[in-house]
Amino acid sequence: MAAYDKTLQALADPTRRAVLERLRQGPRPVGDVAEGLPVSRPAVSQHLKVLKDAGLVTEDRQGTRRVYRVEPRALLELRAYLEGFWTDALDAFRREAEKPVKSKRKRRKP
Amino acid sequence: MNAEAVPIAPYIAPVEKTVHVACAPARAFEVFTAEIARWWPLATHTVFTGRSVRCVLTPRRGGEIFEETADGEHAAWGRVTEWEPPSRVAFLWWPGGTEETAGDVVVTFAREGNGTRVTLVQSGWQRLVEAAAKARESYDEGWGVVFGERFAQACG
Repeated sequence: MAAYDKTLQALADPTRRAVLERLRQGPRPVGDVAEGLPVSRPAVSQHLKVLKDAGLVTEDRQGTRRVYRVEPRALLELRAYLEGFWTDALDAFRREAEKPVKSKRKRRKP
Repeated sequence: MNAEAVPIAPYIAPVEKTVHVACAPARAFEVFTAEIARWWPLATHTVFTGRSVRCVLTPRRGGEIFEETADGEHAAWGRVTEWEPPSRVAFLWWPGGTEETAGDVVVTFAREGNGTRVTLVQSGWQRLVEAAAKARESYDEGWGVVFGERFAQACG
């Protein structure tokens, strides 16, 4: 689940969330992403690299330009994991809750 | 643009799950809380993968939620914050992490036909994400042990 850690780490930084927010409005090169953000362009490049490593954005090369876009897969995977966690637990809960109470009483003491 | 103002919420919205169980709300509530050890998937959903022999949800407000191995090793999972049997229980939830990283889980029990509709909502990702940010500042890979690696590997 290393990918899961990376996703959270990537989202942990508010500047990176700002970068992601910009890319949600559409694919763009680093210069456009940096515009209006209170950090330097090299810093934005660094943030884009972290987001890319976490699978949250992808990079297309168009000639000498690199264009970044949001890749929703990493977030979908994180959600799938979190939802799956409770789905499994609640299934087990339902099976137990639906057992006849009589047999439960017997086994109640550890 | 103020970077601090960009919220986490659009990225990690609350997780909501519902299940219908064929028993009365009071019974469903009891099984979910006081009898959690009877059904929690200890083989997979624990911090000490496969080694834990029981888990406990202490059935009262402020009650601890934890797992234990046969050797008495203890891992806290959370703490009950709202206790309203038979309709609602809420807890802070931090398996594999610390209270600083806790999410908020609310479970409600409502009569539905002859059974009970159980709804579980997990929210409060902000704390987990903020803790990730702090861990990242203090040491490069420190975050790995928190929630992410230990619990996620156990459950994944």
